Amino acid sequence: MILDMNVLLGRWPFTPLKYETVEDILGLMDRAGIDKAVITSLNSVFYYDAETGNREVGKACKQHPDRFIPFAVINPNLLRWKEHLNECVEEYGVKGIRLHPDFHKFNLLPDRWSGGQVAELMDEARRLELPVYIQTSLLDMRHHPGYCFVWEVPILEVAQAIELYPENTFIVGGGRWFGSRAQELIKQAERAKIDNFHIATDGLGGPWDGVRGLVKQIGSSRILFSSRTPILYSEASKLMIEQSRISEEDKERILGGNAAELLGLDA
Amino acid sequence: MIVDIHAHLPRPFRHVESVDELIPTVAEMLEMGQRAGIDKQVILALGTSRTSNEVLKELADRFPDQIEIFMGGLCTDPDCPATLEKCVKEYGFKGVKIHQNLPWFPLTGLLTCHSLFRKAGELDVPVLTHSWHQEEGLVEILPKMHTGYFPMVILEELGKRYPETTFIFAHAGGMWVKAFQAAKPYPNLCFDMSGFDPERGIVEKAVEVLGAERVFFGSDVPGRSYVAQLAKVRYADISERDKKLILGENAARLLHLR
Repeated sequence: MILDMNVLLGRWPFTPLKYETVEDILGLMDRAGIDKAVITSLNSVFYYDAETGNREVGKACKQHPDRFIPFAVINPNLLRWKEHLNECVEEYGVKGIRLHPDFHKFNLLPDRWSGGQVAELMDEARRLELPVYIQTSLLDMRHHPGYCFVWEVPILEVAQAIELYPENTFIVGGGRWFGSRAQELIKQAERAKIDNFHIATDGLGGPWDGVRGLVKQIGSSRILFSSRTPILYSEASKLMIEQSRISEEDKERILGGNAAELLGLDA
Repeated sequence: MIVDIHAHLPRPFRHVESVDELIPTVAEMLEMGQRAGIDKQVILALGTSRTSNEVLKELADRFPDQIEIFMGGLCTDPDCPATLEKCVKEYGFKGVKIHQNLPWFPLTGLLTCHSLFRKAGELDVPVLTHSWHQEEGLVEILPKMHTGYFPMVILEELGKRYPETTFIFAHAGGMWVKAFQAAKPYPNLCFDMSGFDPERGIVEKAVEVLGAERVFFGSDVPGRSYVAQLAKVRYADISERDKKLILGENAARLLHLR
């Protein structure tokens, strides 16, 4: 089973992508040979409230339980995020939490504004046994329009958060040279002796066989195929894995086996 | 035929004693390209010394069916046009690459390269230049790359002043929307799609604004993955005919490849 950890439903505000509906997304997945996908809401990133988008995703998952697995976008700066998260779990069977600290302007570490909420969020994620997906950026910052420039989440902040919450399970992905960000994360993880995180592949981009390099460093069991559909071409990250000079067993794990295990699904 | 018009050598080669040191890594790089379906790779010099040109020439001789080469262009060197002529006529170089880093040369100075651009036009070889236009307010993201700052007025001036010279602006010009609009009136201005993440919509917009004949596939390896960069064209919402042009036919025509 090919399981994509990063598909987004909703409207990308900066340019028309033509693929905004459930049917559009399913068409892209079919074309790329993706059986199942973790889906989150783009609208929950950009709307004033995260709830509307999460409910849209929840409904799509109810309509297509064989294709979609919902993660809820949680903005800890919004009031009553905990009630909403629990609603998402009970009503829609949400399997994970997705964080966009860049767009939602919060720090993953304790600070005077949102730090307390993040600590509580991590507690709640542990209680509900949900992995936490940190998206450091959705798009190469250099392509952000001048009127909406948003700094990506510093990878050191991510590494420190992972260290600070050793009982949580994290997934980390991002854009623009994420391969070098992943290297920094691995370096920090070695220092702190932590391994409670997975790396999502959609932002890796290079070098020419970066997937093999990652497998050599951390093994294949903590690497998860992710496409960032529809912002990126769905096939790009999948082909990087399929054409990498790693074993077939490693490819199977990365393309779906690891994700199925993490989410408690039948592979 | 698929031609990658924007590739680099896998490691700095300015200090290598012999080309033999580079062969295993270059062979590995070419093999990965072939696995992805790429027939020819255009290796762009990042150095501007005579040695770097000679190293490239020797590599092209070792892999004659797989490698084409572009000379490193140094706009501040008065001998550069003569070097280009020698490289093209005697060594078979197919073009000239201008980069802002080696040596330090801000791209805002491109309009001083008059004699080099005229010579390239005369020799019928393209000028491929690094380009990254950033929107106002985003320039501070990459302070180390300030020499790569590339105002659109320069792009337009190149189109106006050198209609006989073909320019290929790398990386879709950076802020692609504005770059395509600026280049539209000048048929000698083209773009390669190398280097950035495989974002949907950029190749499509290039074809819509410029036509597929002015768009080139490039990977920017070794910093990038061949297959991820190819996906930008192979899976773009454009016609199969346009894909063929972008993936290789445009480059074959421009570089006179067989």
